[in-house]
Amino acid sequence: MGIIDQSGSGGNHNTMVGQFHFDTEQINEIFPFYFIIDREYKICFCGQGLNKLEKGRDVVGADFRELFVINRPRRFQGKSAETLFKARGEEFCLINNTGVTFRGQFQSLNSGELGVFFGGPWIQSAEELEKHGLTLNDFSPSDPLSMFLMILKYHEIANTELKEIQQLMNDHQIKAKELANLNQLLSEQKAQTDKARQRAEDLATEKSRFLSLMSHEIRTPLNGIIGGCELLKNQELRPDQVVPFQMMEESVHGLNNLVNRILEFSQLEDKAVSLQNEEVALHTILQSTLNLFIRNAADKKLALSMEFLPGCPEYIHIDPHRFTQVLMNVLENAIKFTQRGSITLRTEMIMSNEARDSGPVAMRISVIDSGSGISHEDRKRIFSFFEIGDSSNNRDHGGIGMGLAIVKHLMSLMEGSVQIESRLGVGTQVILSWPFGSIMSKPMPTAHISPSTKNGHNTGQPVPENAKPNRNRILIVDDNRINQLLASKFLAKLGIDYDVAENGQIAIDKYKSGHFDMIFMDLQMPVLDGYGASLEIRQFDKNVPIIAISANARSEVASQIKKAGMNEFLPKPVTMTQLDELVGKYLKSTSTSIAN
Amino acid sequence: MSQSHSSWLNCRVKYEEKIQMYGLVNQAVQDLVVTKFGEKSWQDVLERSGVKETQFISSQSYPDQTTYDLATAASEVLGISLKDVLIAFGEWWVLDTAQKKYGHLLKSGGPTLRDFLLYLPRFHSSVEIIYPDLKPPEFEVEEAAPGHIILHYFSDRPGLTWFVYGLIQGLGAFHSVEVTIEIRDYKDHGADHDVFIIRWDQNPG
Ligand code: HEM
Repeated sequence: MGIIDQSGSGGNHNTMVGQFHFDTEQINEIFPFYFIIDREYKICFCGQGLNKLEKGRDVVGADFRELFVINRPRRFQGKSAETLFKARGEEFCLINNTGVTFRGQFQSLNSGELGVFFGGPWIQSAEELEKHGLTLNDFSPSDPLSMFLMILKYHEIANTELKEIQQLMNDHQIKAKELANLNQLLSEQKAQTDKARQRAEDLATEKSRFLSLMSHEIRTPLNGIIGGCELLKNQELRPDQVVPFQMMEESVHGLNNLVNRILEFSQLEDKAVSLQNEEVALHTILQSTLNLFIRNAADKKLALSMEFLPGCPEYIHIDPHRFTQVLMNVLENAIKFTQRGSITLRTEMIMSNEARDSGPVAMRISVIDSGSGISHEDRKRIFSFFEIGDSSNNRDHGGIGMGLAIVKHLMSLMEGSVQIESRLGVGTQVILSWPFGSIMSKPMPTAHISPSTKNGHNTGQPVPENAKPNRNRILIVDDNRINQLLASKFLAKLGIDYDVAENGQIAIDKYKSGHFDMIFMDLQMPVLDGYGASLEIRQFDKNVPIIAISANARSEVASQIKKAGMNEFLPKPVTMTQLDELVGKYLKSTSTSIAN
Repeated sequence: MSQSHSSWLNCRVKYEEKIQMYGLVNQAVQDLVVTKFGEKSWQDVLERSGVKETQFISSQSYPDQTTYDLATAASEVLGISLKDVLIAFGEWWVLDTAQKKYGHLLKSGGPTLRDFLLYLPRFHSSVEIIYPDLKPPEFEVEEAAPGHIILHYFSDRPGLTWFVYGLIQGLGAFHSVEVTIEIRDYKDHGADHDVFIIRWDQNPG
């Protein structure tokens, strides 16, 4: 091993290692914290780093045991200095009096006379380095401390970054959870809404079914009573029978009205109503609607008149059925609530205010009566279901105030509006108006279509006159005996031959074997219903008018009867007037025979 | 300045995709722009630069071109010369990034500006231990007199003279001394490497 030249200090101390020579300056650069002790533990030399750490205190000359404690290996504690020199491969851990840990090893010099410690302080952080007044420059480049500190720092940085990321992730998780909760809540609410909607739909279907059933069940017996009344009316009554009969007749008409209104309204509510617009001859439809009330007006001695002001169009584009329905409701109300005086149906065009010649902006139909009038308060409620202008008059008028509610509903459906002007004791004016654009008729086709012939199946296909016998024959198809009876009595009165079939199958058989000019077809029947029978008959006869007669007045029926090839639908109860009209419409040539 | 700018353009051709730089540098650029000019400006810079990344990872390498593009875009968007962008970034690096993230480590180079500058040549080798693919700068220091140091900066990367200028200013501020920096040799003007003459008042106040 090497030899230390001990002569003097600060001079050129050459240490020979093998054949190489290191001076203490070089050792100092490689191990700035080295020190050399003799056998008495006295420190003879030390590096700059150690001097700096001990802050100016004389290290050289001091006793090793005053500066350091051997922490490990413990078996060297209290041993002689020479023992340390001999422990060559051993790793030593010393602690100085300020608590700094030194790691390193001892080597013996000059044949065991001296011992050198190669090592340095074990610093754990940049802060600790600073605390001991050291810098990285105090360590040799071969000392890994700077790397070590950087790694520790990096570890620390990575940890902080990780924590930040974890925090972010936590925040996100909390947010995600909140969102999930919200989502859950929303889907629960949606499920509830769906359930409620489903229930509402179920109820609506249920109601629909119930009304349909009720309509059928009530109308069938009602048909019987009304028919019976009509027959009785044409007979001589005993004087004591006249008043009870009138009571009965009025009540049954009232009841019929009521059932019709309820059904009508429920249909509107169901939104089952769809408009079937077509070109309609305005004057004709107004006149024929008004005509329906001539008798009622005459009964109350009211003057019924129509004003068709200049400028009104010949044709309008509208659903004739709904249009008539509205007019009828308004006229019926007017008659009901007018005790004396007159009722006028006025039709006029409204011109734009600005320029007279810019054409009409609206069509207005007013029903003007001289009735009791409606109070301001009642006018507000009048459009709502089941309310009536003067509740004290309920009985007198024998009706319910559903009429206007229906009118309002239908008017908005037809893009029009309804308005009421009234003065108590003077009269009421119900004004129906349509924007001109919505009812404006398209250019008229050359052949005029009139509502009364539109559905006539024989239109354009006249049956050769000579092929028919003199008197018309009608086939009545109905399983209800009372209905059969009524229809047959009516037809007999009209002077028309008839035959009766109890169900669809019998009807087909009878139609094939005999000659019939028209068929009244009930829809619900055992064995084969009206639809099936009509379909079958249409296989071999496309022309014979088939009139569906049913107590089921639901609007779906209309499309079904069309599909089955039937011409027209007549809701029960059927009156004699209606039968007369039908016969006149489809069997023109017989009009003379009625006169017989 | 226009000279250094054109050399930047050259460097685009020369260094594209070859040399990489750790993401912490770009992070610092982002930090600087966001803190000083707002998030919106940073989005503009990012868009202008054409850089696809929206977030940089400190320990991942990105082409040098990314950093150059960001600096050029920042200069254009913020209406500051490229020189000032580089100086600002140098100061920011020392006073914010290094201090915030590495704290005492910056001091472990030495408690005074002199000590730190003397240690600077060794500084990046310890950085290398955590960023193994580091292409660190090389420095050489000569202490001409107290308060007078000559710093030689060698680098494979072009156009960073003003960045180092900003770094030195930042170090001065960090050690609370006012430094004057003179660029004696300018690599972009044909010198072998950049040489900075750094002076400061030894006993301030
Ligand atoms: C905690 C302090 C510092 C850290 C962690 C650090 C780290 C880095 C890193 C990661 C690079 C990018 C090199 C690459 O990815 O290839 C870099 C480059 C650079 N650093 Fe530092 N640095 C620090 C302090 C300093 C200081 C105080 C200076 C002072 C002059 C400096 C001067 C430079 C220069 C000039 C470059 C450009 C590289 C080149 O010229 O090629 N750095 N540094």
